[in-house]
Amino acid sequence: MMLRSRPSALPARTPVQGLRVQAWARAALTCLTLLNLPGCLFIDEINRAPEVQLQVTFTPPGGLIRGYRQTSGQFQGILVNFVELEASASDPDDARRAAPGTFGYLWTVDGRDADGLSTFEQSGGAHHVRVAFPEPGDHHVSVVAVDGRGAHSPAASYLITVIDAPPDPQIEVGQNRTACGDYLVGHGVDLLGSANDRDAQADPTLLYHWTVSAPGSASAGSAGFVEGPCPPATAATGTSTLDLPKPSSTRQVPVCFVAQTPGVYTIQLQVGPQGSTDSTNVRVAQQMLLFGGDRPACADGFDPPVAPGATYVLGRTAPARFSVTEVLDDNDPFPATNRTRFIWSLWRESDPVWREVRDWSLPEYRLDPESFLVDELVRVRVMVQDSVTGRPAPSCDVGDDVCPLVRDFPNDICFSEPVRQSCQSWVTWNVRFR
Amino acid sequence: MKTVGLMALAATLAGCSGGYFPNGLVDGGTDGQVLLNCPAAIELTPPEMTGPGTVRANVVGQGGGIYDFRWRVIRAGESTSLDYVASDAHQTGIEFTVARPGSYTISAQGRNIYDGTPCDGQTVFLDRAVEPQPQATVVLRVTPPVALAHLPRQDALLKVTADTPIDTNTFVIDEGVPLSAQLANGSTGVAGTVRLVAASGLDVLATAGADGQFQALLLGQETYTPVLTPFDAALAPVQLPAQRGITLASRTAFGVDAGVSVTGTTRDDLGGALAGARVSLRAGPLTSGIGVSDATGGWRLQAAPGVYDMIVEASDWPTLTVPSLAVGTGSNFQLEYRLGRVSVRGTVVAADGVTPLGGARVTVRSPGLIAQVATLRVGGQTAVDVSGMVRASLVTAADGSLGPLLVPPGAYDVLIEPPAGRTEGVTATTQTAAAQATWRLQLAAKVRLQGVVSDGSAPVAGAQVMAVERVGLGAAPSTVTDSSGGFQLLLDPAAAIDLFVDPPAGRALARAHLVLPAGTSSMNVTLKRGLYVGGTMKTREGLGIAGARIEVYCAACSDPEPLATSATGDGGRFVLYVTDPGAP
Repeated sequence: MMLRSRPSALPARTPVQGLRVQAWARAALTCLTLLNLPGCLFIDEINRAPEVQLQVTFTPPGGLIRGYRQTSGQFQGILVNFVELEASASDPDDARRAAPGTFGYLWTVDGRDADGLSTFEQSGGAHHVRVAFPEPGDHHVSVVAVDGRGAHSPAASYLITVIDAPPDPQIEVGQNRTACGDYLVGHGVDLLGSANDRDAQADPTLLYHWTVSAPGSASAGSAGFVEGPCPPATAATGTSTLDLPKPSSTRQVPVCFVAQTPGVYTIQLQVGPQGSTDSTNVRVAQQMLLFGGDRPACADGFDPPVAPGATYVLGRTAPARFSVTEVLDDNDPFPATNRTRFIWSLWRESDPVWREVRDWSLPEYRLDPESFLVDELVRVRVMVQDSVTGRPAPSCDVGDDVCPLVRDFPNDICFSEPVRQSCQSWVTWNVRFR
Repeated sequence: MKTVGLMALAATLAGCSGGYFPNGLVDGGTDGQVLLNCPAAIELTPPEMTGPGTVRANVVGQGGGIYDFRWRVIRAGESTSLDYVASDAHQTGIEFTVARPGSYTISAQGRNIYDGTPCDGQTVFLDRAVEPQPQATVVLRVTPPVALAHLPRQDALLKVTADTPIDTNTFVIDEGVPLSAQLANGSTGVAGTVRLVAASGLDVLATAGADGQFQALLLGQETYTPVLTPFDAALAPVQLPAQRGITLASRTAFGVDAGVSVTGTTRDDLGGALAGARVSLRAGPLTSGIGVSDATGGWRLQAAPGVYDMIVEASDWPTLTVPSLAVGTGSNFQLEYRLGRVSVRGTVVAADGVTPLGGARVTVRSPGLIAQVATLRVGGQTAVDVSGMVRASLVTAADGSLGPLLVPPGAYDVLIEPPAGRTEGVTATTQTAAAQATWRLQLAAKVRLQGVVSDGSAPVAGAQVMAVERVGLGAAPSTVTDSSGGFQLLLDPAAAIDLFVDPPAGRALARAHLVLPAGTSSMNVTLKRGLYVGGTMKTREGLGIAGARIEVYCAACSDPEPLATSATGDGGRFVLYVTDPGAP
């Protein structure tokens, strides 16, 4: 519920007009006029009515009711349990007395006497009461002060509006994620929407409004929702927004989210047209590759350049150098060659088997052309391997070009993107020396 | 008293005549003392310096022995000084080391040991000039990351000075000028290799496909000599005049043609036709086409006119090299082997001397040129003798057998490479080829090389030690020094070693490169002081180039191995250590 309070616009009610004179007040008047008892010495004098002021405060925080407090004409959202009311009376006759008189405070809530709140006699100071408003709606509060001679003050009133607080929506994401913590393209992501209505005043007609914000790489219509739980295998893409009524028998609304493009999607759930929203990010990957510790190294730069099927014809005047100039790897920086290994092999027409160069883990290999026959075809192959004791990979987000596209995962390292097609774990140069 | 006075007078006279007391009279003393003329002169040996060394400062004059002196040496501009106190009354001098250039002030405060009378030395000055610091020029070879495809691999020169770290250099990496052209015969594209031989930097290699199209990235200011080698045997490779990269990049076609046809014959020692011989011509980076002799011994190749060395290879025959042959239209060469050969067989066995090893590769080389292997007749001219070398490679059969190998009689260097998976090392031996000879080639175990790496005063742990062997296919075993700086490597007994020792990351030490003869079993390595070189690689637009690989080479020496390697990080920043040119 929400509370809105403001000084009442109603005119202050007089005792005659608005308040029933209670028994104790009538008894006091009888004493003063008929019996002429001690203490009633100034019966012939005019007893002026007291004045009363009313202040309203709310008791934060952590209450059950989401409400608003008026401050300087503005509303602040707060959580309140109770409304604190404070009535403070003053009597113009006190100036002629040796000691201040006492007051009674007569409270009325929603037009009914609030006997539990009222007090007959309070000497000095303000009167504090605490009122709870379990029901939404407008609530009128007023108070009248009565002095010791029965004179009534005009009523001070306040209008407090208690509004039904919207429910707090909540999204739960199902556990059908990969071992890397992702969800796969074309596979459903189970979502459960719920609304926690703490004042239990939820409107049963409220709609559950699902929306999705797709990453820039995703085309329109490539992601959406379907009502109900996800099917076990691939799922069809639904609509990018979905409105569902609150079910009558359960608090949770299941929907299935499907994306056809990798990326991070932001899913939002709003319950009710004015309600707050909950959101969650869902990371969708193209495919999940799980390796037992490291991602394969990827050679990306060569000297001389490698062209498929091409052969270099070189003179013999200088040693022929073959080198890998760039390696892309998840956690083995290049050229830290103690962590990235290169395995070189040689094939030649006169000995047409691949022979591995022993212990040659450098990124560069040199050949003496004089070791080969004139115009003999020689093939030089290098395979790139990364360290078997690779350090944990840095974490990153899918789609981050700078990031090596891997993330930490307990015991394993997950790769959420396909192996780059431009990269190769091995290459071969063909060369003839003349 | 009078005696003393006479001595003083004598000293005075001596000082006046010989300049021994250049400042005047010696005071007369009391109680048998001989007093210095104060302030006393101080003499420096040597009086000036042009490098680090030791200086001797002495108070000169008789009577110095009865004074205690407190010496003070101050280098100009510094607040601290070196204080010395003579250990006894007879030490009137000090020695001190001048390590740094600068102006030094040497002074001495003296006090008579008997009566406390002060007698200071005259303050003297010593200038140690700034000696020329050793310098060296290094080449920073920069390989930009593949992502920056417009930046070619290139060299940057850097002059380093002893004891002078560099930290603020910015290297601007030149953008390349793209060359996209066609290797063509007339208007027809042809496949082949395009090599642009750089005058001072890095060569550029490209391959032209069947349509002759090729692409390359050049440095605009570099001078390149294009060498075009078409694959088509009917066309001749050609070398074009050198041009700057910016000029070459404007070309759209590089033409090749048939050149001239060069013909010849090859015959064996009995005058019979020798088929299968391969003939080629070389002139620096330029080669010819390949001529292969047919059943008649005749061959033909295409070449650009010029002067070449001719190489003739034939199976079971020594390889011939004939220098400086003029090749032009109609050139014809007749070659005839003259040397007899013997047939050799053999077996390769493991280190146990018993187990035959199949798949072992055996390379046989003559230790030097073999004279009069063949004769060559150019056109119709007189035949000339041609020398040659045996260079043969064989692989043993499964039973370890080798051969037959046909070679001229004589001694040969034999290199045996074990088959994959064996623990033996590449083994060298010398064998004699004679009629019906059988070689028994036994592999040897690997040799253990051990040593300690230090920085001259303490062992260096964590240094990477790599031994590069270049026999056979080569090998490069490596290890890391232990906490005592020790290392061990198992090496091929036949291999000379290029030993590289890289200090642990962050240590201000330089990489060491030693060349060790085959069979070396012990070598301690001292890593020299490294000179800090930091800098930034940037594009012309001022953007840092991250991920560039940097190799540092010595510019003045022929060592093809890098002095250091590094890579740029964020913003193009790099740090490495090279050998300090002033390091001892």
